[in-house]
Amino acid sequence: MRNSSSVVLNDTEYGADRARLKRWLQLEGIREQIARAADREDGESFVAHIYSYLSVALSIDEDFSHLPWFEIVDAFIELSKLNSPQLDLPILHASGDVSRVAWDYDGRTWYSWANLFSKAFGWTLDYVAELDIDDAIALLQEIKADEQSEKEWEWMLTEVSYDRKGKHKELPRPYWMRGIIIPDNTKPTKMKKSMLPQGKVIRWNETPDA
Amino acid sequence: MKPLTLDKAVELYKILRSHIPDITEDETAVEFIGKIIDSIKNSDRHDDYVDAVVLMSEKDWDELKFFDSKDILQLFIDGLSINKVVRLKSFFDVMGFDNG
Repeated sequence: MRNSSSVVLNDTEYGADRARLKRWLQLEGIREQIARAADREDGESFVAHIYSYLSVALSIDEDFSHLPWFEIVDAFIELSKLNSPQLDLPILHASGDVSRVAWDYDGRTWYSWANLFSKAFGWTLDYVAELDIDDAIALLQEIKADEQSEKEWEWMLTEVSYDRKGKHKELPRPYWMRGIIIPDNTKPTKMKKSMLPQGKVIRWNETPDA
Repeated sequence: MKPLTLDKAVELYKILRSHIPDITEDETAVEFIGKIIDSIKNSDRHDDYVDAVVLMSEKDWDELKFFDSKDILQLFIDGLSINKVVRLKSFFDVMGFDNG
């Protein structure tokens, strides 16, 4: 895993360190704005947020708006790679369809993560801010898995979790906890009865009776 | 002619995106640019050619209209080359601008 990189802008080499949690969340917020702007075809907002990403990732406040587009794009791609999570955690594949709540605001994501880690481990804001990205995401997944286990336990103790016949209804799990389901596209093959094996069938995982 | 800045590159992408074909390995630059020009000619958006030249050359149409058509074509070809038009399309497509 690379912890630093460099980009060349306007013939000047800028060093960049891999972002720690607080700055990474800020960068991810900007990336989200970039994606939204592209989706709306809002070129002005798209460009402004690309420059903003470079400024935050490089921790500098310089005007790059006069530079050739490919210098900016090369730097953006390099810094995006540097600040990408390295671990392929299931929680990263969760559906992005998260509706915004009424009390949402710009920058809330950081406070939301800080709240989770402070509550779970008693860490200070400064400590949480400096967490490695992969550590933070892996820990988030563990916290969320624990929360789900607790909910499942509480659900199991309620009457509504059983149907009229007394059969337990499982609490639905979030998408990322369900694992990858490979669709079974194989069609069942019909065989003539005469072609089926006769007598006792011994399977590979069984030992024949002595 | 200078390479475009990012805000102008977005404009160029919007003008040319429907005319830039996927590049094939055995294709020459001339063939590739020819396909872009054919696409503009065969579309109902002939203005895209003029708009792209005006944007890339930073010259007004009032000035360009007195140019020989071969010189305008040369500006178009130089502009596409300087602005790495294949990379330009690829980047903006990947970023999600390809819905339009």
